Amino acid sequence: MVSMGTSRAAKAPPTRKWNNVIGALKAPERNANAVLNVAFSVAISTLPTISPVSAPIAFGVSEGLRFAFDVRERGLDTAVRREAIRVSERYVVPSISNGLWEIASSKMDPKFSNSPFGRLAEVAFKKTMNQVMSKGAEALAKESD
Amino acid sequence: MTTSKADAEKNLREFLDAHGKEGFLRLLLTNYLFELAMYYLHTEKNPAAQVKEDTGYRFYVDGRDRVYKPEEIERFKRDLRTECVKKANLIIQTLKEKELLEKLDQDFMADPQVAKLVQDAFESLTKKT
Repeated sequence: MVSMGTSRAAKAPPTRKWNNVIGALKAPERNANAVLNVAFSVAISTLPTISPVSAPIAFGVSEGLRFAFDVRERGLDTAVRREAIRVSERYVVPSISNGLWEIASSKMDPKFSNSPFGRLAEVAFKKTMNQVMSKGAEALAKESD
Repeated sequence: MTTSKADAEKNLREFLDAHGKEGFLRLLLTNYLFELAMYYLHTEKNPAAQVKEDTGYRFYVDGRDRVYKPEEIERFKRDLRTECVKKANLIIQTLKEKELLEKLDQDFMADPQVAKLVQDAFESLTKKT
């Protein structure tokens, strides 16, 4: 990460092929499909392995699904007790999401949890758990269409 | 309004009944891929790699140096999210083909072989959708 005034931005992936992403963004009729396909393809190709990207969210998948199925089987009170999650009376859902991510990140190598991808996975994980626990089936309504 | 414990449990059950494991995975992966897309599309130049423009600038300013209207930017973000759903579906398809879907509600990351197979499935996100 490098400082850019008050904001912080990562440097572009270290390949001149990233100029293709800039080209796609500058196209007169820019197209999300083309931009995303070229961005992911070029960015991932600069990594030695996929694991920095996949490991943090894979731990989130494991923890989130295990908890969800435990709630379905035993109820929420038992599931949070089994995971030793401290639930705030006032902020029930965010405190559960936060507790679950703490468990997930404690299981992974700190090089993953403390990486930029680890932080992105944390945001996505907490957002997903918050959506599911506060919106129910509706959380996925749009994506299912 | 805050959600009570009883409502959180009801909502979680309702979600699983309606969408199952696959639905949970689709939502989580889509949210993650969208964060990943925003991260990469807001990077700055990298002169050492001959990348001389900020992707973060070009996200908001078009090729003729006109700033996109807020509604155009929002539409583009919505379109990107739709593309992330397609990528998430591709990863889920790969997990299904490898018969890994049924293992995902277990502590699969504790099994190095399964963990590797699951992570390898993420290679699908580089495939064209």
